[in-house]
Amino acid sequence: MGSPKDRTGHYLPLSPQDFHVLLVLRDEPLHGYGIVRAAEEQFSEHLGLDIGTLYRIVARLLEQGLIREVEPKKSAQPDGRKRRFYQITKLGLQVARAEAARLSALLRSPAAADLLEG
Amino acid sequence: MNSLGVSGRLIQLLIRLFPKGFRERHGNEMLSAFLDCRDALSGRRNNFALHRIRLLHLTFVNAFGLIRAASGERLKSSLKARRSTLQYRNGGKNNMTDFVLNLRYGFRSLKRTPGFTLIALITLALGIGATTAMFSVLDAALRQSLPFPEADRLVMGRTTFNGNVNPWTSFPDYLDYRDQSENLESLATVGFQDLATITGTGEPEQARVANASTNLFSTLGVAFHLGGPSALDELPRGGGGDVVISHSFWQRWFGSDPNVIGRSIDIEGDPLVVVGVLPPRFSLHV
Repeated sequence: MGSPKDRTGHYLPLSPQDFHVLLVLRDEPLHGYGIVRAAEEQFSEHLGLDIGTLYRIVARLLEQGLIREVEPKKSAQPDGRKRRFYQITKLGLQVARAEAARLSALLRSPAAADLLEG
Repeated sequence: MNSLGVSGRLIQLLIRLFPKGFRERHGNEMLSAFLDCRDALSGRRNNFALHRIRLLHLTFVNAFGLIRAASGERLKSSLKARRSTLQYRNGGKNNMTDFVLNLRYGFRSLKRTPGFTLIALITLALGIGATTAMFSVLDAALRQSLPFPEADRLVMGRTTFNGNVNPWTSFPDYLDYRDQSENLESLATVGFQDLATITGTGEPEQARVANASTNLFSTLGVAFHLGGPSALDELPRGGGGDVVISHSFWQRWFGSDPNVIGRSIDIEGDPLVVVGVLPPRFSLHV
């Protein structure tokens, strides 16, 4: 097995929407609408997360092992409507961290700094 | 589960566009998420009209998102299936039959899913139609030059009255503009086209006619098929006058008679003498 960097490098760069979904699933397990709402609350920019796009991302992240399905708490489904909850995996967390570091390094580059100041 | 309603049913229908595997795994979840979004919207209801607009917006955004996502998923499954088929048939080697196999596989996939194929075809047809229409307009308006020699030297002007276009400019005014103009080599005038009844030798018929100054065609650089108008500096008194006819009218009305010049036709009961026949495919839209 390679180093964590080798393992995460395979997944980078992440698309902005994949990255946002990983970030909102970092704190607690969420279902589909919960992800949409959390993304809207946490990121002021418009993500364009319609349900079709969202579930393609969810399917991809599940396939890559970056998120997993978890059993919901009973209190989380008061209306009886069954929903699946998703949570970030250890690998997903490493990938999200690596993506954050990649973006941070990119922003620290002289060219990016020049753009932001200009 | 709350009742689906029209929006829920539409979303449920569109979820059927996804490949079977994806639909079975995530179909109910997608519907649930949409209903959650819709319920959240209803919870914020304080203005009925505004609520309906928001609901409509939510439904349309998600409907289009589903169509786009379903197309993507179908493409992904097709590519995956095609890859395994090719690997099986060619032992993992690519060769010239790939194209034929791809084509056959594509047709079979489309045949298996007539609903998706229909939506894809309608989307393609609308897209191609809209693009073609837009291109035709832009091509004619911006790219192609006018079908006259030295078209870049032609300009069209309109007279104005109190800052608005004046459609009733008089002929004497035109003569003044023409005589006093210092920047234009030639100044011609043409009025709006209108339908008029033509009578004379053949069956009466309606045709589009327009009043124009005699130098219109020389200004545009049009070479006549037959004849051509002579210079006219003032309007004929008491009716009458000259008429220039199109090539198709000459063929239809006069049976392509080469001796048509000098013959007469009545336009709205006014007898006019044919003085010229325009070249084929001449067209003037103002």
